Amino acid sequence: MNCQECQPLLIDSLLGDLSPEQASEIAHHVETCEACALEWQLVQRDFSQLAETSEPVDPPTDLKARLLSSLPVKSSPAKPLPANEGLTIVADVPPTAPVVAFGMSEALDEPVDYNTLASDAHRADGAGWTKFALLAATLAGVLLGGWGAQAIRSTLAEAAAERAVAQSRAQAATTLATTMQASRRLTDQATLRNAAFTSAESPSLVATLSWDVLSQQLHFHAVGLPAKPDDQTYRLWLIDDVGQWVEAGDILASSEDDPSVYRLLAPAPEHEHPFVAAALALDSAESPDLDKHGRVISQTQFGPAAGE
Amino acid sequence: MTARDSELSTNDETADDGALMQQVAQGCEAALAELYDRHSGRLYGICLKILRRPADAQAALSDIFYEIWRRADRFNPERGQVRTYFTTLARSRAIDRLRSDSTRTNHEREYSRESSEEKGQRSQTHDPVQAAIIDETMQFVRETLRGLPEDQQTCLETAYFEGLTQQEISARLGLPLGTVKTHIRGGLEKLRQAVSAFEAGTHLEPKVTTNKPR
Repeated sequence: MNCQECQPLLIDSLLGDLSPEQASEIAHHVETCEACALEWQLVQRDFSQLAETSEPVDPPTDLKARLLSSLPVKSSPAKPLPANEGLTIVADVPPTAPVVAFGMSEALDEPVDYNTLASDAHRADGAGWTKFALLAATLAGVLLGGWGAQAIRSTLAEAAAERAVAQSRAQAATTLATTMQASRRLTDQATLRNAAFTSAESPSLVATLSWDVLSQQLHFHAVGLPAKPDDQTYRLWLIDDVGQWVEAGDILASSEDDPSVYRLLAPAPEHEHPFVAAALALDSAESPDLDKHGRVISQTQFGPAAGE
Repeated sequence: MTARDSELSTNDETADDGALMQQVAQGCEAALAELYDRHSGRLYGICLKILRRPADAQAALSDIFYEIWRRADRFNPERGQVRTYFTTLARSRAIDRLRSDSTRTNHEREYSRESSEEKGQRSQTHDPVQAAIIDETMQFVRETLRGLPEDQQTCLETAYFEGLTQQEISARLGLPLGTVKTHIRGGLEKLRQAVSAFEAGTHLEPKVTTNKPR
């Protein structure tokens, strides 16, 4: 790609109108071309000027106090998460996040055989899928204790939303308790990064994501997803430390016999920045636009590793 | 005394935003409170314009300051102004919320800024000279945008405040895609020319960011 081809497409790239391949070509060219890098900066600045059309409005006076009183303690400045290392991650829950929990593993001698585990799960009874709910202790710790629970309680003001979250937590807790033994098999492994998803808007949803950083395999498993139109698909996204969304793959019903169980087995996308969050979105079934996810069903956000 | 408990180490209300971000990175709540005082009105205005519902906008504003608290150490002043970083963060977080089903459903509810008790005064910045320059620039940008043809304004505002692609705007407004692209490109060009001329006249150095294309 040269400058004549690149510059007319910068606005299209900024607004998400390019295919992932085109956007990647633009990004690569801008990285290596000073003139196009400057033009890209100017396009971004021009676009951000539109914010000035909104009038400043003072937020309610008590919001500042509520915010400051629920800040998590910073033991040290946050450090970027390495992309390919097993770490102990504890969810850093923003006060209004609908979801969240992330667990980490300890020591592992050999990679996880997800296919075997998946087969085990599907051979098992109706709760067999829960073998993939491997975030037991950390999930419970995050949701039931610490500032995260306080933050969730303090900001989900609407009673209906709180009930939905409570139901979801209760279901997750039951699930996790019954599968603690199976979970331990995985949580004893240092090469896994694990995440659990729940959603206030979909209380029946319980989903887990395991990322084996040795084999770079993602395993996502979910039950309780609401019915979706045929022209849409559930899609898993990973979010890096600068907020960029990267598509990880479409989440499909595991079988026609049991359309309530969804799963995804896929290689982790290669990316220059470490991923620090994951999201489940309901997207168009057409080819995805890079960084253009659809309706977000559930999203995790997590901060620095515990003890850092 | 922990960093969390410490007072603003500068003891100077005119500390620039970059210095405050460094203190936030060290866990200084007072610095975050100062940044909140300076920027929350503008950021809340952006969130409110995107999300319409005050409750959603307040939740987004909380998300923004939580993220600032957690990630202040990652802010690189060489990559742009704090103000621009906050603006980008506000738009991004508000649009994420807009894309969630519950907010999208509520988005159609009528919101009247003029009648809302949320309507407030512009937040004060601590450097009167800088505040005057910023206010003047903001006013100029608003006037420039108001001077654009209506279709151009609509396309630009829909792209910015609803996060739609040009293809989606085309479908929404029933305009050919090429027309939407022409409106957006033309509007941004006019905005750039006008703001550049204005900045040159007031000696306000243009600041740019260096984020890579998505």
